[in-house]
Amino acid sequence: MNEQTKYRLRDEVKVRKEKFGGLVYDHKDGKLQFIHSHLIMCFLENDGTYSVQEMAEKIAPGKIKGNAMEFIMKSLTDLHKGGVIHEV
Amino acid sequence: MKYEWLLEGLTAPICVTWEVTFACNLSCEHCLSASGKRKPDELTYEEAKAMIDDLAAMGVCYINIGGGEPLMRPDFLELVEYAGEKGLPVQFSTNGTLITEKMAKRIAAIPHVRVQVSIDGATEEVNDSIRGKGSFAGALRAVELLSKENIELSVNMVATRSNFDQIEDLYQIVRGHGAKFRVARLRPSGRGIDSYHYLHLTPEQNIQLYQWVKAHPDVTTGDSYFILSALGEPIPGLNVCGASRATCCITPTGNVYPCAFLINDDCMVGNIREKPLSQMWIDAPLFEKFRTTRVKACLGCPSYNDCGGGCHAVSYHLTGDLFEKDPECLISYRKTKRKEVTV
Repeated sequence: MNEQTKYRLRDEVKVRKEKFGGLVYDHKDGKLQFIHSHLIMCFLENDGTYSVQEMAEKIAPGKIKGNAMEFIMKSLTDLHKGGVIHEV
Repeated sequence: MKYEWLLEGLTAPICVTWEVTFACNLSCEHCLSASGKRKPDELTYEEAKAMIDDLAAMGVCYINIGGGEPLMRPDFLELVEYAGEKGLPVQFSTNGTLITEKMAKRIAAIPHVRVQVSIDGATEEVNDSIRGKGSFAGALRAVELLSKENIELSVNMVATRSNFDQIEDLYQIVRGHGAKFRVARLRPSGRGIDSYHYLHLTPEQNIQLYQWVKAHPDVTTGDSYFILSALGEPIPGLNVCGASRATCCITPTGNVYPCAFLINDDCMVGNIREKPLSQMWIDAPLFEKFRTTRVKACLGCPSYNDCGGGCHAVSYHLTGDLFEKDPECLISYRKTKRKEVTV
């Protein structure tokens, strides 16, 4: 994945926002993950229309860059490897 | 506290345990709900569907169905199918004795269903002494039928003094069928109130079980063995009680409790015929008490982070206090042993 990648949740994955961030639940294998970041939960709202960079601009225009973008890319890459999201 | 973010409670349960009926064709020695006969006021099909609607709207991740024996309820599979239509995955526990080839095919057609078969020994002799005559053969047949249909399958064993020596053997049988293996803790509820005293593992057996679970990372413990995690490296899963925070239980008659092992009058939160669970989850005082009360006796213990004080249901049934230290605490046991050696 890179900043230009368009992505979305896999169909069998559901997310739920919580005070600490949110839950990611995979209906297929029953795997549950706790996401301790409100920012990442916002990025998981993408339905495939936007790239990572475009989502960053939608969520916080001009503010997600440098270390913050690195954190986002690492987290989304991990979620991609874990089968939570896929490239469109 | 490692799980502070969870102890405060979630916006909705991750999982709701629904005991669909008290009817059961077996009479297991340790049954958590003392099941046997169906109660006349169990939820109707329409009431059960309304409950499923509520759980789906809340965003519950999945329903964990038990009983009684769920398949004793004639409309059970229709309700599972309905949950599937609503996008709610179901895991149900069964003794397996009523599963037929036709039924296995029907279950296989429902999306995201997981089945758990209860077996409490690696031999007919041991299993049937706990679960009743013919239950071992019936359960194994169910495992074969369900495996054949590629249904996601696990076998659950309640670890007791009777079957402790057979855990590895049953694990091998289960893996041989391509199923997952789960070891659950015996709790003194239902018929377990009496049998707990002669069936629950000794502290030394619990310590051995910890080592065995650590050596078998594919085995789960149903998030029930928090006490083991206090012994060192935590075992996989959630090592803190999820009652009222991430889960709760609905009985066949619609009563709501913090967990399936606390089906007692003074632990009742309400009834879904009077108020939907979605509302109770927000404003029930007992749920709130679970979320805000800590196990005082454990606060100074360095292992509190690893076990959260243990199982509230065991504490309740053995001491009368929901928030007392788990009487099977292995840290306390080790301290006592050390003192004995010193003396």
